[in-house]
Amino acid sequence: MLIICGDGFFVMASKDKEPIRNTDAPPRSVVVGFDAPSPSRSVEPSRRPSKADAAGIGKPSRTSSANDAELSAELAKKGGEGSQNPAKKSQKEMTKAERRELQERQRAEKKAREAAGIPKRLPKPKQGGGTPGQTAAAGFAAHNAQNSQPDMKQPSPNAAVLRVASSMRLDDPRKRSKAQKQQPVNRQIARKPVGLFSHLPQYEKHDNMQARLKKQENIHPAVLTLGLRFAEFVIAGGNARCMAMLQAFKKVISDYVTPVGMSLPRHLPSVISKQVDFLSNTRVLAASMKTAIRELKKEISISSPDTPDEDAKTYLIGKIDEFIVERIITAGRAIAEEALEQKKSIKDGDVILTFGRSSVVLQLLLAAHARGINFKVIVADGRPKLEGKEILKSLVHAGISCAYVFCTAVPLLMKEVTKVIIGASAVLANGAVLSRVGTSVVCNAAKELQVPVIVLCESYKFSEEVRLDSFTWNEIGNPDELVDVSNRAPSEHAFNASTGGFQSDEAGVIGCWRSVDKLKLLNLHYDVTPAHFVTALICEHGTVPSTCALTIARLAAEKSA
Amino acid sequence: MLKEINYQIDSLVAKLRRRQIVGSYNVAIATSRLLRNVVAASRCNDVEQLSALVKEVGSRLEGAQPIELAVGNMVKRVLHLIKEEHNVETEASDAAETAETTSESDDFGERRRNFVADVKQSIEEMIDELENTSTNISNQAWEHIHSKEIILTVGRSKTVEHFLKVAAQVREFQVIVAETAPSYQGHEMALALSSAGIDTTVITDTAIFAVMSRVNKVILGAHAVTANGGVVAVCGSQLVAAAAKEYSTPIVVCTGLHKLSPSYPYDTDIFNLCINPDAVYSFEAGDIIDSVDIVNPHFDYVGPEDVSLFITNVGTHPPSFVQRLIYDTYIVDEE
Amino acid sequence: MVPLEITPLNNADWKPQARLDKLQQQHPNASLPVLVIMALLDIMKDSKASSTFEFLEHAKAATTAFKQLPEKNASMIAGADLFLHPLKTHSEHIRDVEDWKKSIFALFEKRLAEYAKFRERAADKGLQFIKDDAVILVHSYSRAVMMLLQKARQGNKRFKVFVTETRPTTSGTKAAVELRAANIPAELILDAAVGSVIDRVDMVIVGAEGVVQNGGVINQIGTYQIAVVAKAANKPFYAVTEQYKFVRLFPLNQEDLPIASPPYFASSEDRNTIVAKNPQIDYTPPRYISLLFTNIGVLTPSAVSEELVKFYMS
Repeated sequence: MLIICGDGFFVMASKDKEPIRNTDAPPRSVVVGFDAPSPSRSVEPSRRPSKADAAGIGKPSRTSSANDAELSAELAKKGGEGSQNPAKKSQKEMTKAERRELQERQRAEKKAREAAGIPKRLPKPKQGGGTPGQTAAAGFAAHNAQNSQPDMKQPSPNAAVLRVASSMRLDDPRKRSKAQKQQPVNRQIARKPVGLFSHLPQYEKHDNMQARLKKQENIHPAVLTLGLRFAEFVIAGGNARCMAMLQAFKKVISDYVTPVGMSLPRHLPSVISKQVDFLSNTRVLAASMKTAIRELKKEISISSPDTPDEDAKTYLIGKIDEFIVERIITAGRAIAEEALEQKKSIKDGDVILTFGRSSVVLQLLLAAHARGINFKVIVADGRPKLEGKEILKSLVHAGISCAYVFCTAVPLLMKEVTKVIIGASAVLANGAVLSRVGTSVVCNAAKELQVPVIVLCESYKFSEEVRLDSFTWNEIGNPDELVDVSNRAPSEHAFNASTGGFQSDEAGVIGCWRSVDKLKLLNLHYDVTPAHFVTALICEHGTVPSTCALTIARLAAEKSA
Repeated sequence: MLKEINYQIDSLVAKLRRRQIVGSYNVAIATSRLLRNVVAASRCNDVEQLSALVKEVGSRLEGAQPIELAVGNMVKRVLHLIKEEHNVETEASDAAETAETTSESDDFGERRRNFVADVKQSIEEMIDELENTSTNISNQAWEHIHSKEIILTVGRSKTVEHFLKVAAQVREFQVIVAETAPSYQGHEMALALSSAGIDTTVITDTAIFAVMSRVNKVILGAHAVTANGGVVAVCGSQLVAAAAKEYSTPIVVCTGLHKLSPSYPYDTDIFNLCINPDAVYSFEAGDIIDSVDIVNPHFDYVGPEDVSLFITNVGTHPPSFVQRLIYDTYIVDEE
Repeated sequence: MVPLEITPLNNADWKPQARLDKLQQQHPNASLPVLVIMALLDIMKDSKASSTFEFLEHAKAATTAFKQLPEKNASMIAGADLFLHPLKTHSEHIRDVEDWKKSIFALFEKRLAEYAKFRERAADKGLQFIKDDAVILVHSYSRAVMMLLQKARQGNKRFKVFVTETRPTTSGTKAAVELRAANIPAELILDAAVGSVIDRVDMVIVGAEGVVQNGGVINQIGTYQIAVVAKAANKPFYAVTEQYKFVRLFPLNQEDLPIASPPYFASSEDRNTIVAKNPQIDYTPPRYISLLFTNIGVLTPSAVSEELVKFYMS
């Protein structure tokens, strides 16, 4: 039997046991992993044409390239759902030889597809698992692959194409715009992004958040206000942001009305998710906020659909209050108690160095002072946020003797320091500490002189993630903040503006940075302090080395459960 | 001595004291030129008198601004040159004496004038070398910077700036500049580099450790180099050194020979200068200013164990070689 | 607030140091934390408390008395906490106080019997690390280390031992004598000579008075110094210790420990002319310790932290 295809190459189907195949495919023996056929199997010739039709081979009137394209298009259409099914149905009926034949044909088809530059058969979109953003993105990507074959990059023939959500692929310009479409807020991408961080979102600062919202009716006004406050750094710091967010959510819940035909446990989480999406666009969520959201959604989902809405809402609001009191406020107090027990952390004559502004550290220092312990504090600060000034004011007003320096002066003063006490935004699974940028610099200087470093952190900020350095994840802030060289903290700016006194923005030499092509500014918000810089971690459950953070959190959860 | 020379000396002393001349290079040039004039106008009869004169002028200049170590360095170099010239001359005259008898007085006067002229010549050469320092250092740039490297630098150093600009003509690389608050010298450096077409990113000092994991090399300028191979550099360098040690990133220091100082850092604080704290926490900013100590150091000391290489105008050397260089260039064993 | 009917505490009968000394004579091989538990058990058996609350209060007061002893603080705290832990955890839903007391005492008897086996198990865990022709450095006299070395010898392994003198107690001399008697080639060296022999040594093995919360070790003075030298020379540093020595202390540096410093000189004349500082123990941070051989297995310092956390949170 001879099948002549359009451009004239011949596919020989001989009467012996060789099945039909595309001559481009390598001979059977060369294909790795393919077992040799046993001669005893018989091939049924009558089945071949139907399978050939189904696979699309053997349409003699087309040219090979058009053939391939059409073949691919057909396959692609069947891609998401259907292509599995015909094979599945018939596999039960087929003999071993026929299955082998089908396998070979599919392999040949795959080769043809790849030659035409289309990716392998698309996987089914994930059902249920993963975040909403990821599944949407995966579906997005699949849809995209079907429709824009010529645009797709040529993958190497043997490479598996990794499916990753668009939000994680920001270094690819095509994916960037896709990620943009999924966000509820129209944010302008930074015009001069820093190459090293191209995998992270970098945005221009914009004034009117509300005007950029795509669909406004879903966002509660309390959350809108909150988002603005986050973006302006009026509310900053893990605990403050988390508490403010939870207070806003309490309002959302109390104003919530279940739509007709839906139940509260099913619908409310999606409402919360929308608020969270909006907030994450004003500023990246802190680890503290993520834990709170997770707990809240858990509480909502386990509430019974039978309870009347008002009761459910009251219960949820009560749970939120409980979370705030137990895991933030009481935890903070417990940490101060634990740290001062037997004068562990702060003794008479100590010189304590702290960096930035941490509410827990401030609480500890004030408590120690209230107990009459005699110590000095050196506050190290970092540009451009200059948050240390806030903590300095509180300490001075409490009557503690303080010194204030920029972080560059820390190595000079480190020989006088007896302990370094810092707060954290999150403690990672490998014991590393994610905190305000500059913390690692201070801890490094401390380690050089063997000064012990104590990290104070509530257990709800312990994270299961691991980050090796400050590049894998970070928050890139507004680069224009680096231009202002007045050394005034943002709060002082507001004060000056209201009196209309002198210039609040003293633009330095690089005020013209946008016009200089090769000049970029990088304003990082977080950094990762490696575990071996940290001597001890104090949480409300006790003092542990920072590598044990997760263990203690899990045990505490088990104990309370 | 001539009144004019005295006037020049007084003028330089005043400028140093008021910090109107700042920076190792400027100070070194000014000192060398002054010493050349002093030597040229001197009426000394022999090497001891000349040395004593130079020492006296030198101690006045050093006293005006002790932190500018370049002053002392140049004085010691001139003394070394004087002694060298004297040695050369003595050898020549010894050789001549054994060969023939000489008539005393005429030759003596002439020898003295030649001696002074020779010393002045040497000082001129030294000034030439000074003026070409930057070029000689930058000529080695292409050997040390490779393509697609990410280089970190701190503050503003004209030497490093020139070094990187010359390298950029041959290689393609990126530079990250730490801004060194509150003087913000890093901003000026970044502007200068990017205007020359180098891909530059400005970071805050707090991000130094964070970015160090991606940095291939650190290039620093120096205010002075101590006799053990340590470096006195802009404040912030010690943070960079600690971070670089953590990631095993090499630190390269670009410096002219005039910054090599024979003093040992027996107390690292002695090399520091704490300047106006207003830049850190401004006086107008608040009521708490009275109760808070504010420290604003200008320099940092980085030990020789952290520096990988010195690139100088006479070649590249490891820190262990600095002592040898100093011995060759300066009079060290003085009373 | 004091409850109305409170049974008075007979503090005078306690005499913690005397009890410990007597028990040590009776049980020469027992470790100090175990002796503390035995002593506390004896005291509490005499207690006339009539409610669990009172019993607990008495127990707390008694343990405080032990914790306040000036010497060997880490072991005291370890033993005391081990004693209090089951009391606290088992003190809920109690019907009959006497029954409860009996069950608590039975629990302790059982535990004490188990504790007796801990040292041997810990030594067994370390056996595989001693290879033929190994040169081992040990510090001071530690029963656990002695047991480990003797077991290794009995297993027909050939190895050599350097023992530090460990002044001023000179317990190292005692160790060297004992090792020689057990047919193990042992050489005595000065404490200051560790640096000069470290290159010839394959590993360092020490005992511990206490294992602290971050996996560090509290031991005879000189241990930290040897650990630093071993780290600089890249030699492994092992500690052999039983589980009852794990203690809830978290020292940040050497100063954080309550270290007794008895007078160095015997004669008062010397004491008047020379001022001497004689700390008895020091703290070795976990980064210098390669592994700990314990009865629950061979642990890294971070595994020790996890064990402690699990134990005290359960």
